[in-house]
Amino acid sequence: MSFGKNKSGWIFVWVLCLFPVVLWFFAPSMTSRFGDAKQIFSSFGKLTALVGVSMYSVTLFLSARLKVFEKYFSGLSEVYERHSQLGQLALILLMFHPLLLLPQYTSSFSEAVRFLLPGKNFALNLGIFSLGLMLFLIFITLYLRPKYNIWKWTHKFLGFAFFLGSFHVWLIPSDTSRFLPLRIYILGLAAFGLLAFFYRTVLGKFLVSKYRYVVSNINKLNDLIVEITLKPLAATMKFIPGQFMFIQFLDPNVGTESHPFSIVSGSGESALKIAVKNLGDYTSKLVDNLGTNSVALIEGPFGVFSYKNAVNKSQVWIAGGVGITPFISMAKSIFLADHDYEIDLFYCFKSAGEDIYVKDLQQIAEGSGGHLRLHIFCSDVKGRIDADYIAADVAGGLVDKDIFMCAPPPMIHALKDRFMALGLPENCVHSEEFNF
Amino acid sequence: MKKVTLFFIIFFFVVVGGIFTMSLFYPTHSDKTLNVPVFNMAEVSKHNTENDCYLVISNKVYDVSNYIGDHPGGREAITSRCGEEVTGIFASIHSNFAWDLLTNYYIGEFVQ
Repeated sequence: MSFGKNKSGWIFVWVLCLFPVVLWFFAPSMTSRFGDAKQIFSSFGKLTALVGVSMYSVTLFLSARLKVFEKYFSGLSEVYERHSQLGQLALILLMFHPLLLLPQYTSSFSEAVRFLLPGKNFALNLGIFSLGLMLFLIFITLYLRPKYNIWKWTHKFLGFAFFLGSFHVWLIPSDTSRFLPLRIYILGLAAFGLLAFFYRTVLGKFLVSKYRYVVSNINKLNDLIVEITLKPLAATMKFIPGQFMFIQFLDPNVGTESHPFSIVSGSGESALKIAVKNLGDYTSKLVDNLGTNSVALIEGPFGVFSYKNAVNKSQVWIAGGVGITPFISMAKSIFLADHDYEIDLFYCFKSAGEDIYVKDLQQIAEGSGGHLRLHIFCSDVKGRIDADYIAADVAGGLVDKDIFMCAPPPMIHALKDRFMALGLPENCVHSEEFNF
Repeated sequence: MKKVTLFFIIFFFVVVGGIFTMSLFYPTHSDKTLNVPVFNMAEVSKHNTENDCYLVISNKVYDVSNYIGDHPGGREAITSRCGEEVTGIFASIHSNFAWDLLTNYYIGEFVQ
């Protein structure tokens, strides 16, 4: 099976968001829509609201973390990336909405101030509060970057901001209130968005299905990284090598946040394993405080980052630091049933001591009969790895090969840009970045 | 994308801040220098019949005498309020196309 950049999901999103524009042109109007400058501004003010609200609805839908979306986007990572882009576009359009209405509905600066501030009109106030809250929360999310638990808590209020905005759409006299097809579409889409929000947040405990596992072993790989082994308490989660899962440990010493981790175990193993590096508040608690017999709730698996989903069986795998984890699962699994793969694995790390799993990888390479070639790259010794070095070090170059990368985002971006410049087809370059 | 969003957020606040600032330098009563007729309640209330019907909405005065027959909500909804201030009921019922239409009947500014 092969996959490239699956654009069908993104195309469908744009169709959903722009369809209200089509409906709006069918909505009756007793005055010209674009007769003079004021009408033009007013019409665009209405259109920005229609598209902005639609985008906001779809943004909430994408945040529901439904596995079905992975089929229409290139994995959950891309779903979240589109969620962020769409949310920002929605904000931009919704900021323009009141500004573009000013020339038509006000004739002085004082009136404009009264229009922009909360007053006696309840429906208008809902719109003002919704936009204000959205601005504040998105600013925090994008630019202040608070700690994860604070960010997650504040981010949930965007659902409330959308609720206020939907109420504003419901109540305000407008083309939407007057033209039934448009009203049904916009409010219907908003209702779906709110349902998706409630599914993931308020009703998540009851509706989102999770696997129950227990921590059976914690193995310290070095000063910063531990490998956690989890055994199932009930149903076993099936996964494809290279996928990841969201884990929530029910351990008061660690906290109950849910975080994504790549699966390290091979497809033939009954237990699930993850490798956790001490990188911040939560992972430091996990590395230092997690105890065996702690119960874990697991949601997944997610992701399309797998050798099984590539165009070619000749592949180059590039791991940066703890990004080696999905490749461990892939390396353990790849030759169990199929010996036609040819893999060059570049394992890059900063300094000696950070090279976890090297012995395991060397054993797998020796057992593969030469089908897996391990390239160790220590940046303290050799400097930064680049695409040209990789192309020169791989027998036969990069032609007709798929490239998989899991590394810090700057490393991925630099390598990807150069691979594209070298003429590699986009559908043969795959990357996994955790930007949740 | 984040840089683009930041640009528009700053743009939004610059525009809104500009409007607020200008409203301090150009308060509403200065707009009357544009030679627009000004009415008070005593004058408006004289125009309270079906054939001579003024309404006050959002501090503006409208002569809707020629529109009454076309009103989708019926004649009485307007004629029962000729010569009065009707901002509240107008804003709560009417769509934005009605607001657009209203501008055609504007005749001046209202002062208390």
